[in-house]
Amino acid sequence: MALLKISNLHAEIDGKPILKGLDLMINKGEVHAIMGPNGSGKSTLAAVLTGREGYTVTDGSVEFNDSDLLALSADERAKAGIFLAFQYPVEVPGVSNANFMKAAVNEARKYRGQETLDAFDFIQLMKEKAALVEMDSSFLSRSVNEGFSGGEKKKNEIFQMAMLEPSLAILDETDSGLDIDALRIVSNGVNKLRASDRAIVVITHYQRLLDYIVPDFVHVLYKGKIVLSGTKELALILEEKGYEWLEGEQS
Amino acid sequence: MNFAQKIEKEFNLIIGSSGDPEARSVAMSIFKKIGLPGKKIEEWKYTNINFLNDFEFDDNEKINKVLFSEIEHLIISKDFYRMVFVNGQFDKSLSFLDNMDEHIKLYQASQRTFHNYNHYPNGFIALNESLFSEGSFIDIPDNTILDKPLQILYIIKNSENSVFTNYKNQVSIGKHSKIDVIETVRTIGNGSTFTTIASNFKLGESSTLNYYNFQSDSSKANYYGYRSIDQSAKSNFNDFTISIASNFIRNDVFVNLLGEHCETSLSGFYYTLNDEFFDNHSLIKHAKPICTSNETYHGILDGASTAVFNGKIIVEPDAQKTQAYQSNRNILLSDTANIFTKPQLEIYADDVKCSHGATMGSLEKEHLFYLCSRGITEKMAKSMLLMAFANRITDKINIEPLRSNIEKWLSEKLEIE
Repeated sequence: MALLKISNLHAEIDGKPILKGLDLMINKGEVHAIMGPNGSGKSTLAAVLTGREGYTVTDGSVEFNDSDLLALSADERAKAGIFLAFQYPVEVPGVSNANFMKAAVNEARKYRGQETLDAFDFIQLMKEKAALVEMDSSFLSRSVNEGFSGGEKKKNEIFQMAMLEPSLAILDETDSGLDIDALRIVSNGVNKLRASDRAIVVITHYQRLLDYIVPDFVHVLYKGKIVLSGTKELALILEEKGYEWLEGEQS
Repeated sequence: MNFAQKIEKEFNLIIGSSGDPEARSVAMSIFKKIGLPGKKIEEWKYTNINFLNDFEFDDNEKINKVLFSEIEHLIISKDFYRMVFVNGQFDKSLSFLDNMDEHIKLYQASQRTFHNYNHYPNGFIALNESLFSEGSFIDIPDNTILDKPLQILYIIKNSENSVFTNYKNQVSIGKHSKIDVIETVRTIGNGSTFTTIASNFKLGESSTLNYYNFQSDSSKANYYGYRSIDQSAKSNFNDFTISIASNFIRNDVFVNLLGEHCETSLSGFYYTLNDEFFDNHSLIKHAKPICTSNETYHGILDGASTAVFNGKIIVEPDAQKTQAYQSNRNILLSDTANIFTKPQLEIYADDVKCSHGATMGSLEKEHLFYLCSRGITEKMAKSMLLMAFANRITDKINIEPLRSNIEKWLSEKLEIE
């Protein structure tokens, strides 16, 4: 059974078609990279999968664990096991990281019929997961992303992923804005979260990130469709030949 | 009996029986001249006082004594000093003054003659001066730090009829002295109420006044509060006005910075619902150099409610090196809510740092989506964001039991699970 099955997905924003018949199948335990030039629909795909407002699906279907993902609200998708690491994580002044994660983790536990965590267990869990991305636990009492550097924001995304233990994590341009040290820390964090019951989708422009997070499959998203799929070597070809090469391949 | 008849009757009863009859008469003649504040006055343009037209008084109504159990939940901490007034009179049995008189001199306002106004900023203050039935006169000597906050509770108990009460306070704080005051006005009963409280504060050199006004009253409660603060050099005034329920609230805060190196902070939070009307007016006058004032008001508006913010800062020619900052931010949750905001700076000195700004809008969609994308329901995400917005103000409250009390009220109002 596929974890995620996207069939003939068409989506538009403000009446402008962006996704034009996208097909993709992802199984548990796999890491997929989706590459493509600017405007090809990479971030739209992430938005549509996570239920962001303003995007309209005009055709096609998305099945997650054999049920209709598109029928769920954004919070229900998260509780069902989908996680998005944002390309541009927003700053939320006045909401502490600890309170934010406590609300999120307990909502997910309630959804799954589990008991909510008490304060002590929760703090232990947060400290353990923060260590995964080498974050000092003092950040937990700070407001979500407020005054964080680009690297800290991305680490916080991976920290949240570790806390929420999704079955499908979508990392949207997680490498953007990272220096080489932060890139290493973030990638290490992601690699530690690779698991047989979890799939990871890495959306990126550049092959660089894939040296750190090595994918099982690479797909090329171009003009709203997956035009080419392969293994990690495909990323190297793209790096060498550029996306213009696809024009030739297409015809 | 309507409101005008009530004024007449109250005046005839009180004149000669308590306070200074001459001061009362002068104030009444001024009130008759200037009348109730109306829309023709710029500062009252958006303030509708029509609620007074619906008032119906019945002087035969007998009010039973207020029991301690009825006010217990309003007490922030039983440790704190407490003055309780019921329907215009001081209630000693409900109050807790402990050893406070070791620190300060306390008189009942009705027995003292004090502070006649040079001019009356509006008719309500003239009315208050002519009719006030009680209040407190607090004199804090030099070098006296009051060991605990003083909570002043004004309780109005009625059945179905209207109640109109007026209090006047005067607090002078000696050099290097400090006091925290918590004001609470609360109606017990179903009738309409109108309460005016006029307080004058004189802050001695290097003294500190922290004033907390927690306004959460019944849906038929109406309030006019006037606070005038004269600050001497190096004094510190911190004002908190937290308004979360009432029919009508108007706060006037007038601060005069009369010495160098003064610091003033006015912080406010309001949450208006249904047809509520809350109005915060302030005037900070920088008369001397090197003073700092900081004004921050946050508001959440829902239903068909209205809020007004008007903050005026005047920097006089002498007041060089003034720093004055002012901001008013509003979140509107409904299309029928109204905010009138007007930050005003009048600067007559050239070496100053001043800023002002006002914003209004809805909750940020990006913030909501971020929270929802982590599995938090939209309803809960909204209340988390609104609470965070309120906490920007309430976080600064230094009295822990007061802060948690206010935050508990807020979280109930904002429905945080």
